[in-house]
Amino acid sequence: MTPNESTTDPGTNSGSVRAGYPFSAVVGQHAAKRALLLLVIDPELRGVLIASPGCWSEGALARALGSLLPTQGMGSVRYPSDHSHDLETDRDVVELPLNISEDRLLGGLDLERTIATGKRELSTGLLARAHRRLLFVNDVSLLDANVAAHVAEALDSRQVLVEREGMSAIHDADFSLVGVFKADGDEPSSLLRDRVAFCVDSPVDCPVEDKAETIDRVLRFERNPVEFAEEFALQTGELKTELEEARARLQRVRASKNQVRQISRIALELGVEGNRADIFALKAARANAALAGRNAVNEQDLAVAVQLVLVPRATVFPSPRGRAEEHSESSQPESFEDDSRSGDHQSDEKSLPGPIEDIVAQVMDARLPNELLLPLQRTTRRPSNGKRLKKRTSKRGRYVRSLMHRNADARVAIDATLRAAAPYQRSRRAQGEAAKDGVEYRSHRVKIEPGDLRFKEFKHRSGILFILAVDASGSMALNRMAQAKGALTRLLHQAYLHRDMVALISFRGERSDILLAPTRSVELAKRLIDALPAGGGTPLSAGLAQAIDLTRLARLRGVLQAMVVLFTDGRANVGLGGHGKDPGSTIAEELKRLGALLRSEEISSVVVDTKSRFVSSGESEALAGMLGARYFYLPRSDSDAVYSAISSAVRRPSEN
Amino acid sequence: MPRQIKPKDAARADRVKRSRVGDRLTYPFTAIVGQEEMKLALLLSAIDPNIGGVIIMGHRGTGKSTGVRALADLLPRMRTVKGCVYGCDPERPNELCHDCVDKLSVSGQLPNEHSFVPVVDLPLGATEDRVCGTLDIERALVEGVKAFEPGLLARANRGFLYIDEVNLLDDHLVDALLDAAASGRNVVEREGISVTHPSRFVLVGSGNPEEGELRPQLLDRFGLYTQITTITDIEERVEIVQRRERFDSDPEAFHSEQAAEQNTLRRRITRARKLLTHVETDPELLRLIAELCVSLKVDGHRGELTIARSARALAAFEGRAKANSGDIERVAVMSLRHRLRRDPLETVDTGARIQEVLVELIPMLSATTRLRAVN
Repeated sequence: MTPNESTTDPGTNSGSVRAGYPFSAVVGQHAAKRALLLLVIDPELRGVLIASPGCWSEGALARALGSLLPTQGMGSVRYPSDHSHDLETDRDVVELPLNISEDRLLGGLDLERTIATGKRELSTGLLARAHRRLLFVNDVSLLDANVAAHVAEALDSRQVLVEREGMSAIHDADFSLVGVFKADGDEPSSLLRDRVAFCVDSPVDCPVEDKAETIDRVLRFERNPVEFAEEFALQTGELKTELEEARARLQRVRASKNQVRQISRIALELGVEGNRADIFALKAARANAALAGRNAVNEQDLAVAVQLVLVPRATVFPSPRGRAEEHSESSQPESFEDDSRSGDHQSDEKSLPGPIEDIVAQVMDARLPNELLLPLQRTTRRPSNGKRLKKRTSKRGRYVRSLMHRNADARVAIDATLRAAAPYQRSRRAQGEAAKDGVEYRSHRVKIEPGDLRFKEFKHRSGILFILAVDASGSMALNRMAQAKGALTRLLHQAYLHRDMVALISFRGERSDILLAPTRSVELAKRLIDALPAGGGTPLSAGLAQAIDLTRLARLRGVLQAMVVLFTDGRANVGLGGHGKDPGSTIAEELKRLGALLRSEEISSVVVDTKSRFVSSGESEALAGMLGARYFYLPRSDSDAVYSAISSAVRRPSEN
Repeated sequence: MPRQIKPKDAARADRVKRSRVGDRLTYPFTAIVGQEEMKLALLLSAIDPNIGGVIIMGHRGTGKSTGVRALADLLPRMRTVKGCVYGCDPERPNELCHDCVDKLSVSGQLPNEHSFVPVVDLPLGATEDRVCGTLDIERALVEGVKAFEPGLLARANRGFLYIDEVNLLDDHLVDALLDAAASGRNVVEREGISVTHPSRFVLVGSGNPEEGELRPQLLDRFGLYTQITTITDIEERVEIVQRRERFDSDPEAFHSEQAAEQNTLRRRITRARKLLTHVETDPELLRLIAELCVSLKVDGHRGELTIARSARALAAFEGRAKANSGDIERVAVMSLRHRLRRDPLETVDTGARIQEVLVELIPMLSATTRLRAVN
């Protein structure tokens, strides 16, 4: 195809991003840089997701990568015969905007051309335009679930199947995905994470010198981009040559069977799900060897592969020192340790727990503090206007069917309108001719009358999002927790039947944790609830603040109705800032503010009092009052009653 | 330039393309390491489409869609009426579409040809009109004719309809699918079009339970439910990675390496299909199946029928003219696993429960029927 045609497609705000800032001018970001370079060497690695702590440079990094892509396009290895590309546009990066509609993403009926020609004409979707290019998504974690599923589908099949609005088409869509997301926010869709090789954490604290250097370079770049690029021209040129050599070498790079075994063993030990990760890891190791100019994979390449591919997928965290003792699933990996099958490689058993194990341990150490910091950062974020968000979501979702009547801000369903008008074209044309309106091309034009108009009906898949915020403090630990768990289980059952979503937040000690991001998998939720520990103080405000944050995020993704269900005995004793001097009044103040926030964002809430009535002095009732929440009392050993009470409180929206 | 296909041509294309998705070769079925349950389920439903399809649920990156796409390449060809969009079977006059019925009554015979079994992908972004079919807008615009334009349900007739990430599929599409799957016909009443055409297909779905739940109604429609997990054997994992590397570096060579095995398996499927109608199921075995379902409190008869059909298909696959209790043991779990789920929150593996009951029941069979499966 001629790339010019696709990039000048009118009516899109997602044009290609010109690579300006040179890749080699980005300071620091070693892991992200390495992952991106490996991706350029082997496009079969499919993509990189970069968690950024909010610095500026990741987006620039991804965009700058465009200038490093091979001149024949990403797929040059696979499509050697195709040289018909425009060299400039081939280096382009196609950016996927978060608010993209399904027809822009996948392609659909091209109204103008269809009407002009009387023949069905297809508009190319964004995914097809990213063919052999780089698809860049900023804030990839905020991507609508449907859009993420489509991107994942295209990554899988390297094609876009269009079966919509009367069109049937297959578009090639062999692209590499680069996404950036905020490290302190939500994770990108697991569909995407699974289908790309790399998920890279940017360092939380980049050194002061790096920061200073970055600022300096950015300012210089802004003053004179051309001059700045020239400054790095030599480096850029060198890097390009290196990459070209690496690509040429890649086919020759070999890994031994034993190295493949090492990869698989580490994947197993980290509890990596699926077997795709092993394949990615081997490719990454080979690409890394190619980059270093070697024809054989060595220990270092494996370490890079483990760090960039396997560790981000870990579900089991081996303890940094002596993994045998505290290993949660020690029995299985241990048996491999004793396995005599690998005995033919004598020295190997000894050499394995060397550098690679250290890498695993190091990366683990670096990861943890980052995660520990999250809850505190979240609670201090400024609230944004919730109403606007809601408005925007009303036009999203899937185009389901066409309607004859028009809602406010309805969009015209082109396909259905044309179908409605089609049968009358002959008679209308005849009328037009009789009336002698001398319009040119008259016979090719479609005559549409107001009565033909059909409008799109959008539908959100999501039902209600229940955010279950569970007080797991010490005072809950007695038998109240068991009953709360019973009630939660009932609620989950209900959620399953109605295909609602659930999220689980637990708060205890001084912090609140998202145990489960919004999901439809009640099985997962059930497992987590069963294993919910209790103990420590009651940081109620932190839990609530997190619930509000979660709701906002869910709304961005198209969930319209959210309900916060708070299970607590009502005695908040830890404020947002931890144990303060005068906790009582601060906490009350905090709760009132949070309550106001809940109301202004139109989040319905329920407080379930888990305290025995004999001891209760009405804290939970007071809390419900402060929050503007409905109040329910969890009667002794009767979780059924709670469930029916809660579900009756939820206005179930009418279908649509 | 993207390939823009007229839906009618797409239906034809499905019946001629093979072993490739676009420009790429698909990974061969016989080269898939492990995942025996999934492979068996797919083969059985290729042998007997009446089993009612397969749903494959499991971890990410374990070869679910690889398995289904590989199956497409494995299916033996079939006879179809020449030029028929629905790929009607000339040997089954009562399952013909209206066009073929007309043709038959006019000329008294139907010209036929060999075609590939269609394996149609249902993309998540599909709209209802393309799934069910709708007014041919081009002909309507240009000629003023109300003509029907077949959709995916037409294309999938006599073949497979594959939905990846089936749990993410919109409910209204699920409804359309269920209607067609239940009746074997697709009834279109929209935009002034009124058409009924045959739509018998094997529904194959795959997904990850952690992405979301499947509606119980949809779950029940699938004959077999297979669970797929990450392979934890190191040597198998190594084999997977190495085979994949070989395939990626030279797909053509890898295919010819596997060609002999692929052909053997393809011939086995063809033979099994011929043998299928001759396989006997002992009354005592049918009783065993019934007792199994009763003691597990399975609602309806779908469970029993699925076990009986799958056991028969398995016997045919192994070249036996008689099903035995070994066959039942091998298919019972995947036939019933999804029908026991009363409580969605129960995390216990239902497979174990089914096995337990079977172990109790089998010793009560007479010695002849108890014969374990060979191989």
